Amino acid sequence: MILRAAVCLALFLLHGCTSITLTAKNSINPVMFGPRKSLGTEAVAQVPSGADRGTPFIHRVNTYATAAIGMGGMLGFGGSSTNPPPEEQGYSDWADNRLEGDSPRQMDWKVLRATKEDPSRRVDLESIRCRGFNFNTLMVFMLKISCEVEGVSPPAR
Amino acid sequence: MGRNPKGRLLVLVVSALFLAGCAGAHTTITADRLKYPVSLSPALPDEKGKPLHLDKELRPVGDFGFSRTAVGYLYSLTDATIDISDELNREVESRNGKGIVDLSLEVRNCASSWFFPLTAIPFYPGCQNLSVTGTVVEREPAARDPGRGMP
Repeated sequence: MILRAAVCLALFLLHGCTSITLTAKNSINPVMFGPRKSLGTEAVAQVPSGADRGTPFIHRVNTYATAAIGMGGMLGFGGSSTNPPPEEQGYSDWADNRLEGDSPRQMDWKVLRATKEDPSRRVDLESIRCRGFNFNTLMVFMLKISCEVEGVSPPAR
Repeated sequence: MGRNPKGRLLVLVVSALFLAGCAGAHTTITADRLKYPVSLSPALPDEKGKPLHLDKELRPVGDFGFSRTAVGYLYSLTDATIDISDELNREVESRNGKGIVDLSLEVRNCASSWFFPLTAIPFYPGCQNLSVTGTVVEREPAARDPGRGMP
């Protein structure tokens, strides 16, 4: 009975607490998804090529949770991580970056860096890919979700 | 009753290994057929590329939310594509808006991916749920034509 309750609790906590939210609600720059359209026009902006393409934008986020059940008890842990902006990859404090749950602010931060803090620039997202799986045995439950967002911040007009 | 405890342990470990299950999905989220500008932030560019912001130059005309599901097989190895263009176009058109801001994409594994031992079967469908929310906006009349109404 206690074991069943522990299994139910573990699954509830793992499932309920683990998701990834992609948003940039605190950014002042447009973060465009889909065709490069502007308000009030049907035209699609041309994509610059080569070196004029702009600053690359990459946002990766992973989140996981694990629970092990046995001997009438339960042990669980989890966490999240994200990649640093390209120009800050050498900074050691990013290596231990661990987030509590979702952190939309991390995407905002990368938008800020990709646009070089220029409020007139935008970010054009080119692909959003996510993967997730649940792995379980009789006593171990593991859940992982990861997402990768790629794009570019074209130079200001 | 007199069985070897080591043998029992071995049987338990081997059983646990063979009774492992895995389910999930790979998902690519696209919106290639959008008719309107959509942003994950509260800003949209105008015709000249200048950012217009929610509650300043942009007026909200309604919030929306919908969900889609991507299915994966073979222990989450297969790819699935979710195109949300039609839903987003419909949300804008139903509110007579001009674009979408504050788009939020929440990805979560389906509860069915916990249905052990079914997840031990390679063709058991695992899945991911995608919850999409956002705000449909139109341009503030003053921002549309700054010269109008000025003395």
